[in-house]
Order: sequence, then structure tokens, then C-alpha cells
Amino acid sequence: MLAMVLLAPMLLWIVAFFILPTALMIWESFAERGLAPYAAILTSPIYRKVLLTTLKICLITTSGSLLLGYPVAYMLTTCRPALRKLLLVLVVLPYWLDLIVRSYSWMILLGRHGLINQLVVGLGFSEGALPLLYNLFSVCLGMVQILLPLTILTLFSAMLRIDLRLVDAAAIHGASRWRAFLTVFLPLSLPGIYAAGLLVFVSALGFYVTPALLGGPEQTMISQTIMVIASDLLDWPLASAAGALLLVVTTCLLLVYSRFFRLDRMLGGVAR
Amino acid sequence: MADNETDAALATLRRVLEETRHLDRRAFLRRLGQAAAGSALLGSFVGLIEARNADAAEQKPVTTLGWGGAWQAAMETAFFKPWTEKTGNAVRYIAPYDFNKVRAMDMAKQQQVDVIEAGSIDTPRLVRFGMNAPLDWKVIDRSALSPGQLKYANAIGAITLSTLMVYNKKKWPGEDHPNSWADFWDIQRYPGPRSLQRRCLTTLEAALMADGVPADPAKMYPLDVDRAFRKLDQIKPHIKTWWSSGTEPQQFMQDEEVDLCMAWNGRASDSINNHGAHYDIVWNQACYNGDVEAWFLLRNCPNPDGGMKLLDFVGRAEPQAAFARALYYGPTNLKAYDLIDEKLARQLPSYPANANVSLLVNYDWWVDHYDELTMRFETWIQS
Repeated sequence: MLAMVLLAPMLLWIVAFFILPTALMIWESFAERGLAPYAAILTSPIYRKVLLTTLKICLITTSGSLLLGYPVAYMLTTCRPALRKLLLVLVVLPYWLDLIVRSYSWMILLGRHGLINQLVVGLGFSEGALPLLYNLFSVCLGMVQILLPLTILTLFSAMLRIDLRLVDAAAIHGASRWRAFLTVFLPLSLPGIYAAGLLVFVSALGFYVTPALLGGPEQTMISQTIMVIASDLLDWPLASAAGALLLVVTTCLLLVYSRFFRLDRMLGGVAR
Repeated sequence: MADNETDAALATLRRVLEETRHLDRRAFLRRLGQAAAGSALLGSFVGLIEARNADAAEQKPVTTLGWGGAWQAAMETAFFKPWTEKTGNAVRYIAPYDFNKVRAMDMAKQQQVDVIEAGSIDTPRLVRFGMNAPLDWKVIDRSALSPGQLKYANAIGAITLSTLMVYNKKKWPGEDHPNSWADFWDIQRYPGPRSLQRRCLTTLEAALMADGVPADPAKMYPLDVDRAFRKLDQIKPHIKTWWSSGTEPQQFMQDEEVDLCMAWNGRASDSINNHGAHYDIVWNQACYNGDVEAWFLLRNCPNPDGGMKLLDFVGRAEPQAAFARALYYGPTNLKAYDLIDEKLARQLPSYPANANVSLLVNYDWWVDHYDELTMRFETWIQS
């Protein structure tokens, strides 16, 4: 009973500001022209391409974030408390920087006369400037940087629940450090990896600024297309349909994911 | 006797209330005023309401909406602050500009914005949707305006903008520099990375001019769209990036990211004059927006009287000259050129020498084709 009372404000909030607007958006997609906007989206090659591009970028970004974030989270788990505090501050710090500012700083670093190209050309590693900007590389780089804190913190909170004495036990039984990590720590941290992967993937789906500023036309993501339809073409039913379809695709992915990876367990704690 | 008068007044009031249920506030007050003519008691009552209303109208700010940042600062310096000083009426500025929002409020008959400065495709759209209110020429002094400012009915010409080409002066310091869209397309003669705007509007015109169509609206429109896309195919591999926000070309110029770039003239001048970009502007074949950018009073808006008075001010020469000084976008009121020094005037799109070599973009053609061509352009650019 108390739980319900305490939950009520959040439920109200979600119903009023998330479920209701989403329902209105879906209603808007059908209200004017029926199924026609959906037909337009499903038959037009551009939406399929944009949706596939979006999924591709999200997959790369998620993998990159996990690969880079895992060692950091591992270090946070195993290091001394004083160092942990410092590292946590460093991890969270970039969160306070504006998204647009971070994207523009990548432009300064990666540009034709940017820091990296001046070094590469100046030191004679390359004849001309490397094409570092406005491609898949720069978009994924920018997105990984933005999503890393989320990855690390999710992984870290899952890893904290792992009993490190199990790793010691493996060592006592003669396992090398590397083997103890592979057979004991890594499997126990899997729920954290699944949770972080999911959160990063879903967050990445809605990215707009980073691909717009750091990418080329080939890296157009679905939110950019929805933006063009809604605010440039003023075609709200079509934009709503594109948004609703994204929701459907995301939900399907989530269902599949939760079937394979037991969503309830990985967000609820470590499987023991 | 006094009781009788009160009764009569109340009866009149009851009748008026009954009759005016469907009327809005202003019509109701007018009707009430007529009914009160015969009654001293009601008369003093109505007088009270009117006095309160007049006060409220004076204090109620005029709401407008526009682009934020440097644009907002320039708008406030040139138009709103001087007007507030003159009339005592405040202006509330909402940013960012969002035509969708204004249209949604119009459709819901809940317009919250009084005055809007619309541009590009939004001007003919706004007129087509009937979102603007009729202007009162007794409040707005027509004689202070240039003929071009009255191109659209119930609108007042605002500023001029050109979408044009800039080139890297370090790379081409001499006389032999890119000077036309054909040169922009000529990668043998003028090699180097390039950038165009990610938008069909004006990009298709640039492609057609590169293909030999003269900068003459009569020969340009209706656009030969297939020809334009064929020409764009040629340049596509050489476009390093397609920009979508006006700050991007500024960054490209200041970091020398590209050697040839399409840009809005005001942004280009800002980078060249104030941020040390070694680039120069090519006025030849600039895509000039002419008199399409305009001020409107929106229908069903909360403060039409205040908005009307503001519209009497914004089209005049003095504030337009002040805006040009702040942001390098030109006046539509040609009398403003008397107030602008020659050095600045030469950087403005409506300066005759610049306007004469530009292509006047036909937005009335575009408003019918924009949606379809945007989708085609987006499909093309991603393939």
C-alpha cells in the first residue's frame, strides 16, 4: 500500500507526460489519412535506409561503449576507494558539458587543419589530411564519448554486487589472474553488460545533434528524418507515423532481447 | 426613482448578456457601450471597464518569436528596444523560431504569438494557410515604406538575405578566383573540398546556374528539376559535407575546413569581418530572397493592437538600417540605404550592385514543389 502511494507521483508523471503524448502521436498518425502515412514509410526506400543506418550506428556505438567502458568499470570495482572517488568524478565530468559543445570540439580535433591532422601531416605519417570528419567514424566516435559515462556507471553498479572473494577463491585453486577473470568475474558481470548494452542502444536510437554535426548524408539517423518531415515539411501525420514505427521496432527489439537475456534479472540484480 | 433606475440598468444588462453570449470580449464591450448610452449608471460602469482595458492594453507586452542567439540580440537592438523606449510597450521574445508551433496554435485557435517575422518558404505558406490578420493602414504609415515591402498582402517586408558562395582567399588570392556556380563545379580549375547546404531550395538553382541557366527568374522557373539533379550528381563526390545549420559554414570558414562553400551572406560577412576568416564573398549568381522575408500580425492573437503598433515601426528605415549594421542582412526599405555607410552597404543583398547580379528566388513556385522536392533531395543525398 505504502509502495503504491509512493509510486503514484511517478506513475502520474509518466501517464501525463509520456504515455498520453505518445498515444496522441499515434492517434495523429492515423487521424488524417488513415494508413497512408505508414504505407508511404514502408514503401519508400529512404526510410528503410535511414532505419538500417540508425540500427547500424547504434550497434557500433553500443559495442564501442562496452569495449571501452568495461575495463574502466572493472578498474573502478577493484581499485582503492580513494582512487575510485577520483575516477568516478572523471567519468561523470563530461556529463556536465553540453552535447553541442562536445560535438564542436570533435570538429576542432578531427578537422582538415585540426589537431590530429596537423600532427599526422606534420610528423610525416601522411601526405594529405586524413578524412576523419563527416563519416561513420566521427559519428560513432562522438556518440561513444557521450554514452561512455552511462555505460561505465551501469557496468560499475552491476560489478559492485559481484563477490570478489570468488575471484580470490579461484586464485587459491591455482587459476591465473587472467583465467580467474575469464571464468569467474566475466560471467558474473554479464547481466551488467546486457543492461548497459540495452540502455546505451536505446539512448543511441534517439540521437540527433551528433550525427547532424559530425556525420555526412550517409549517416542520417531516423530522428533527423523525422525532424525534416515534421518541421520542414509540416507533415505531422507522416512524422508521427515514422515515430510510431520507431517505437514498434524498438519494442520488438526489447522483447527479443528480454527473451534471450532475461531483462527482469539483469536490471534486478545479479543472478545467484 | 433611484431604485427604478437600478432595476432598468440591471434589466438592460441582463438583456445584453443574453444577446452577447457568443461574442468575444471586444464585441461584447462594444455592444455593452451601445446599451449603456441611455443609462448613466451603466455608462459609468462601462467607462470603468474601458479604462481598465486601455491600461491593460498598454501594459500587455507584444509577443514575437524568432531565431535566438545573435539574431535575437540584433532584433532587440534594432527593433524592440527602440520601440519600447518610444511607446513604453514591452516585447516578449520567444526563441527558437518554430513555424510548427505557430501553426499548431493557429489550428487550435489558441494563438499566443502576436507578431512573427517569417522568411523563405514560410511566408507563402503563412499566407496560404491564412494565418495572418488584416493590417490596419490607419495605424501603420504606408508612406514610410518602400513598394517592395508591400509585395504580400497584409505583410510588411523585413530583411533581405542571399545564399551565395564564398571562397578561400588564401588559396586564390589573385584575380583568378571562383566567381560563378560553374566555377564551383569546376574541380579541375579550382580543386579543393566544398560544402553545400543540405536543402533543395537554392541548391537546385545553384546547380542549374552551374549548368548554364542564367540568373534570371524568367528563364530559371519552373525549375528543370531532372537537369538540376543530373548536375548535382557531378559535384556530389566532391562535397566534403552538407551543412544544415547556419553556424556550420562559419565554422568551415574559420577552420578552413572547405575551400568553397555555400553560405548565407550575413553569416559569411560576420566570419570575414569579425572572426578573421580569410574568405571572400561572390555576389555573382547569389540566390537572393528579395522581399519574401516579412512581418505578419497573426490572426486570433492575444494583443492585436500592440502588434499593429509594432508593425508600424519595424518596416521603417531607421530600425532596418540598425539591423543591417548588427547582422549584415539587408533592408527591404530602400530609404535605409541613406542611413548606411557605403562600406557596409556593399555587403548587403539588396544593394543594387549585388541584387542586379543575383537570382531572385521564386518562392511562389517553391511553395508548390518544396515538399516533394525535399523528399527527392533527401533520397538523392543518401543514395
